[in-house]
Amino acid sequence: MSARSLYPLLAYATLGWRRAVTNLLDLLGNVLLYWVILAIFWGLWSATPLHELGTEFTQERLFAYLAVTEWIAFAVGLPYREVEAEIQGGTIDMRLARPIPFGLATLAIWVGEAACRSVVLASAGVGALLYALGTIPLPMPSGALLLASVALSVILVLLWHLQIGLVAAWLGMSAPTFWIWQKLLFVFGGLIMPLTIYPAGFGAVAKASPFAAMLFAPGSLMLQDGAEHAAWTIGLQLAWLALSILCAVAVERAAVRRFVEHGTSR
Amino acid sequence: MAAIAVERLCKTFRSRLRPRGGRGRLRKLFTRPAVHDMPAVSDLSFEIAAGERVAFIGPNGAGKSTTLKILTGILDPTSGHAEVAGLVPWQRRRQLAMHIGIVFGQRSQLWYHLPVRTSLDLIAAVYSIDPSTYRSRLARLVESFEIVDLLDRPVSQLSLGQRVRAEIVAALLHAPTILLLDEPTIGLDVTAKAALRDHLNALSREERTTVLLTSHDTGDIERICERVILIDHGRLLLDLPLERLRREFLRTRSIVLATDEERPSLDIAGVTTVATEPYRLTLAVDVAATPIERVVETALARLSLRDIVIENPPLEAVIAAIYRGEAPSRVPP
Repeated sequence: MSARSLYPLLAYATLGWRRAVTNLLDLLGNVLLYWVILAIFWGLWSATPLHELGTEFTQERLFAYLAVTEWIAFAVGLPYREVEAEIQGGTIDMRLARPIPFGLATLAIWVGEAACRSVVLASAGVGALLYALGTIPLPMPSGALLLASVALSVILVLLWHLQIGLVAAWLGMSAPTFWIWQKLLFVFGGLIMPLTIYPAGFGAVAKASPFAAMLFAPGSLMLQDGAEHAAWTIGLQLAWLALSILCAVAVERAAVRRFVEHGTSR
Repeated sequence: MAAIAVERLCKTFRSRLRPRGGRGRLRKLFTRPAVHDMPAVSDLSFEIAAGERVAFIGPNGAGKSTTLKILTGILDPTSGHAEVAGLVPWQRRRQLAMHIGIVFGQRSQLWYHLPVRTSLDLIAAVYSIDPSTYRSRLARLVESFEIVDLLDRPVSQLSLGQRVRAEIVAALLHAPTILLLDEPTIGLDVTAKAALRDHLNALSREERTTVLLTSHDTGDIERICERVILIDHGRLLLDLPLERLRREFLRTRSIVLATDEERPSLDIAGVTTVATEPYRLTLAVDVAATPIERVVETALARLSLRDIVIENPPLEAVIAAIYRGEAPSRVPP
C-alpha cells in the first residue's frame, strides 16, 4: 500500500474521530456506564473471598483486568449497525461507487471513531483505578505493550463488526447475528473474569477461540507480568488479526458480489 | 470516442418464490425453490457523445435506475456491453469513480450528523484533489448553489432541498467528466432548480461535461437536455433530439381565440373545438392536416378577434402520450 493510498484512509479515520466528538452525549453515556460497571464489580470482588475460589489474583488485579476488557468493549461500540442500516436503506450504493473499497473505508472510519472513544474511556478508566486503588497498576514490561494490545483488540473486534454488518446482504438484517456473537465474545472472551478462572476444559476451549484474543489477551497483561507472556499475547493477537483480515476480505468480497449481481435495493 | 456507449444491455433480476403456508415451507426444505425472472433492462443500446446532455426518462419501473447503476459499476448486467469514459463499469468500478459524479436523489453521500464541510473535505481527500484546486472549486460550487451558510451546519439540520444542493456540490467536487443524475431536482424549490439547471448547462458548455439525467420533472428535461432517451419495461422506446421530439410529436397545437362575439364558433376541417366560453374559443389543430396559418387566416376573416394565443402541448403531455403508446397526432393539446 502506497503512502498516497493511505491519505484517503487517514481522511476517513479523521471523519470517524470527528463523528465520535460530535456524538458527545453518547460518549459520556458510555463513560458513565463504564464507571457503573467498574463500581459494581469493585464492590462485588471486595466482598468476595477470592482465595476460597482458588485464584491467585487479588481484587486489585481483577479490577484492573475488568477496566481493560470493558474499555475495549465500550471503545468499539456497536458500529455493525451502520453497515446494516446502509444495506437496508440502499445508501451503500453511494459508498460502493467510490474509489476506495467499501470495507477499507468503513474500517478506517470506525478506527478513527474508536480511537477517540478509547482516549476518553482510557481517561475514565485511569480515574476509576486511581479512585479505587490509589494507583495505576501498569503491566510489566510496559504500558506501551498494553496500548498496542488494546489497539490490536479494537481492530480485531471492528473486523468482526464489519463482517456481522455485511451479513445483512444475505439475511436482510445483522442484529440477530450480532447478539449471538456478542454473547460468545463476553463468555469466551472473558469480559468479566479471566479465562484462567474458568473450569479447565471450558477455559481451554475459550482460550483457543478468537474471542480470547479480543478481550482476555490484553486483560491478561494486567494479571501476569513478564516479557514472555506479553510476547505470547501480542503474537496470539497478531495471528488472529491475520486470520480475521482474511475472513473480512472474503466476506466483503462476497457481499459486494451479491450487491452487484442482485442489486442493493431490498 | 463516446462518453457513454451501451450495447444490447440486459439485466434480469432473479428471485426465489416464497412458498405459502406451513406445507409450502416444509416442501421447500426438500425441493429446489421456484425462481422468478424479472427483466429490468432488455436489449438496450445507445451512445452519448462527450458534452451531450441527455434525459433518460420512462415511467416508474422502466429500468432507468437499474441502467444508471450498471453504468456506475455497482450492478452487473446479465448480458451486453457498456463503456463509460472508456472503462467497462463492472470491471473497473473504482477507477471509473474518478471520472463520474453521481447523484441518486434519495440516497445521501453526506454524513448525517456531521457538518457539510466535513463530508466535502473527506470527498476531496478520497478523490485526491489538491488543496488549492479544492479551495477554488469549492468556492465556485458553494457560490453557484448558494450553500455558503450551510457548510458548517450538520446535514441532519438541513431541509431536503438544502441537502440535495449539498449532494450536488459533493458530486461535482472532483470535476467529473460524466454526471449521472437520478432525480436530482427532487425536493428542490424553484430557485434551487433553476440554479442547478444553469450550473449543469454551464458545466456542459465550459468543461464539456456529459450529463445523463433521469427526472420526472419535464422542466429539467426542457431546460437541461438536448436529447431524450425514452425507455419502458427496460426497452428503448425512442431516442431523439429534444427538438425533433417536439417537431414529430407535437403535431397537435392549441389555439386560443379571444373574440368580440359572445358565443364564437369556427368550423374548419382538421380543427376540433376543445372549449367554448363567453368571448373565448379554444381549438385543437392537427397541423399535418391543416396548416396553422390557414386556421389563423380563417379566424381573422370570420371572427372579430381581440387576441390569438398559439400553444404547444406541454412536454409532459407528449411524454404521457408516448407512454400510453398513442400516435403522435393523438397527443392532446
